[in-house]
Amino acid sequence: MNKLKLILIVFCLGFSVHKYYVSTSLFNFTDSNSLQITVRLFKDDFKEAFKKKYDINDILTDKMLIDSLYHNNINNYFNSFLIVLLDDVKNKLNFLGLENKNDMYVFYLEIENLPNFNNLSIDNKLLFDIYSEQKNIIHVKKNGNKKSFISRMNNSILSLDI
Amino acid sequence: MNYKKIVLFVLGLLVSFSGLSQVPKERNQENINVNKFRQLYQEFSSPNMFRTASGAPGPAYYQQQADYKMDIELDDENKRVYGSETITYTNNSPDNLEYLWVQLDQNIRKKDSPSLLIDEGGVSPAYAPSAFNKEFLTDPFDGGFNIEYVLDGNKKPLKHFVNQTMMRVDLPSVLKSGESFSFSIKWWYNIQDHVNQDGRSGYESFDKDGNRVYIIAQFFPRMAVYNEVEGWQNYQFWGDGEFALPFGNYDVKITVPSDHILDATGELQNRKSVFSKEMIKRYNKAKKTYDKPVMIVTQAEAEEVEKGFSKKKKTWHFVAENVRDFAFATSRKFIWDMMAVKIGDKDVMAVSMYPKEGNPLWEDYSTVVVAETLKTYSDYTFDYPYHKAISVHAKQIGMEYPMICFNFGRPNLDGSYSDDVKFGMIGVIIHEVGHNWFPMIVNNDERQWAWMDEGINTYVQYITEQKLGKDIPEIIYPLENFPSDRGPASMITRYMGVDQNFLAPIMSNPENVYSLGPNAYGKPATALNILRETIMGKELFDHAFKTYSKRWMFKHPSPEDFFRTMEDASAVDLDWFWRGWFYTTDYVDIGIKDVKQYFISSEPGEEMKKIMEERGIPRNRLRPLVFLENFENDTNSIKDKDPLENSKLLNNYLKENEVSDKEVPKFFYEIIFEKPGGLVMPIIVDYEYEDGTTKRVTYPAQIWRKNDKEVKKLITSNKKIININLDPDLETADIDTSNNSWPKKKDESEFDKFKSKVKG
Repeated sequence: MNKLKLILIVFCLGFSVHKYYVSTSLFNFTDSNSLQITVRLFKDDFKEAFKKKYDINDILTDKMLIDSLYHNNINNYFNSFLIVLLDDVKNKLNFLGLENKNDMYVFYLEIENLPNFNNLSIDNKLLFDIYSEQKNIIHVKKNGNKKSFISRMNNSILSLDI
Repeated sequence: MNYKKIVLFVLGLLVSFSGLSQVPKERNQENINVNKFRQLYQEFSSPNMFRTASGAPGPAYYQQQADYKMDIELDDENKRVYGSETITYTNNSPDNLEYLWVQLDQNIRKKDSPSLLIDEGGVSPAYAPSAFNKEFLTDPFDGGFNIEYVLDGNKKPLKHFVNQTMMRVDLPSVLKSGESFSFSIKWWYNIQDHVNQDGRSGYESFDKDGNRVYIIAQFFPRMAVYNEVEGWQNYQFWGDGEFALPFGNYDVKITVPSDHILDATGELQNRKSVFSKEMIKRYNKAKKTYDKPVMIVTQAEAEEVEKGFSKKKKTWHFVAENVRDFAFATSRKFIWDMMAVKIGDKDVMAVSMYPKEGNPLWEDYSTVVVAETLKTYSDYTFDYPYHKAISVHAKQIGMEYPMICFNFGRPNLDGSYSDDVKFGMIGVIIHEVGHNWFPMIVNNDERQWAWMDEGINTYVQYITEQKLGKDIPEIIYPLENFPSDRGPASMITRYMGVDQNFLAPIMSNPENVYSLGPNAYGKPATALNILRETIMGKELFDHAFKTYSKRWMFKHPSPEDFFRTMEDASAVDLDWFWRGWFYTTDYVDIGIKDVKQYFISSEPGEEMKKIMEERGIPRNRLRPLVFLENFENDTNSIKDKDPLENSKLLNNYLKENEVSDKEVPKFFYEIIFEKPGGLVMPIIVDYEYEDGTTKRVTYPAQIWRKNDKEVKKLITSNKKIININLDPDLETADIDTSNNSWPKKKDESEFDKFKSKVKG
């Protein structure tokens, strides 16, 4: 397993006393009644998890992921591990694409035409299938209010009354 | 009186009017000085004879000395290091010492080390088999020092006590100021696998050939620092806070299998007995080769040697003067190359050691990058004083020691590698070689202040990366600039904008911060870069930074010594900057709250009329005045007309009085800048005019000294302003740019930008 990423974060602490498995995602509720989700994952983590789930043995390049070849799988991947419930109803995420930023991929997902709802639950299990120590930081933004949460293996669900 | 004074006069009138209308109903309570520009008297320690108010070492400055004579043996079969050492400790302090503290860093790897227990962790509903195995079925590694004896100069046992990673050695009699004391320690420990068990040093196993690459550091009991700032710096080693070490001279003999290639801190004393004739020939060639590395051990030779496993031994002898630590790397797998670099009038050797698994990346870049780093750091600080700098390839470590460092950057098995791996490797080599300056020579206390070497070093790393991109463009082709991941202001805004619950000030102990990377590396490096590029300017900053480096070369600086020197050498008051960026978790957010537009009018405008009404002043009682009216109230459409036509009074006045030939402005803009963020920064504004021209104005940070929330500015012009943009080059680390323009630009989020890109 390549642990380069943790070194890039904690640079000279490359000795990596504490391993660093972190992702961040922003859940932004827009004025136009949609939920925009931006997820940042370390490239090597995502590739490892993705290849495992879809049994891909070839090398995955940035270009192969950014081009549409695997977009159906990526869409499916996120809908399996990132669950958004509005008043206990699961909403399908629509995967728009991804970008390449340094050692991260930035994934863009969206739910449009949101219904009225009182409760939001986010279950972010991304990469838990490969790293038990993975932590996913979640930021939720709605009407200028911001809420943050860290999703861990034993406590992965954020529930908010809005 | 020129027109400008008139404007001021009229404004003054308005101010005094509005001033009258604001009689406070209730008196405020007294307040203490919370002005962001107040000096740091409370935060800073008092200047004294050891450390002066100018930030330089004082007349009574002293530092202790620890000299080491060591015999080390590495047992490749059992993966152990054995050593005996004699430490001669010289007490240069004015104090008498009753005991000494010796650091036993390896003890963090003892089975019962408390540092294994300080991180929280709950149950997981599911585990990968490998993680399960590691978590529940693997015994903790049996590491830590096994101390066989601690003896005084007469071979008599010395009383000592081990508290975690610190050993107190009780002195038979008080060590008086100016005296020295020699004692010996014999020890051994098990080396851990740094790939699977982490750590700053250890071995990597290559299962295919049964070989190991050893990178060995923190491997011997080391003296703690004693000084007038901390007394003994015996804060335990928990894992994150690195090291505080005194300077000294080292005489070290290292015995390893005879087929190993080894390099270490210090000058090799017995080259003839450890080098083959061919290696000596190549080495002599390398000493005179300045343009490319010369192979001392080729890949083919290393591949041949790694087939064996010699039972014979060989001893390498090194002497290092004035270093704060000692480390080495050894393996029969090492490929070795070197080249000479001119630093001042001296030749320094840039050296790399790597197993074949590092190629082709390492033979192409490592030594070249070491050479470039030595040049650039020397330019910005002081000439590299040691005779060599070695970059050793370790799979996933980036770690620094005097003259030698361990760096990551491993190609795939087929030799291919991505740009991320390549630039990651170049970046880490610059960083770790750069650590020779901070903290190896400008020797700060890393245990307490990680930012003083990590942050300062990451700043010079950024400068070096950018310079490397210019000096050797083929390395970064087709990119135009080296893809630095730390340095530019815009790269720290994400971190500075996160939930305050996850932030700690830079001035925190490294054990207690939430993410050490941005806290001790990214943010201080960015802060210095902002000082250089935006606040002080390159010339002043570079001079002050060099002054700090030279003042504290081969000494132990404290944070105040840095802060004070940067001011002392530049005449730029920076207390506000240190306070905000280093002592708080405040962020930068400056915006344009409102822009009001006015034109010259012959009659009182709406605002003036209101004032007249409030004060009961009839029109005919007003003295002759030039009035300003808001654009919104331009009922007669005169705002675009000649201002002198709009105000006959002004016209006549200018004709009757000898005034400058400066044109009378048509438009008056009152701009209200607001500051939702706590940090004080200059306001950098681009005023864009209708004719396409732009004027850049930088209001110094001191504009906020009397009002920390909001300030107004009046801009006059003959051309209409069509756009106002704050921080146009993104140099202040403004975390929210949605309030940076007038008229307000629809701020497209990262998401919207991407969406409109994919949807066309």
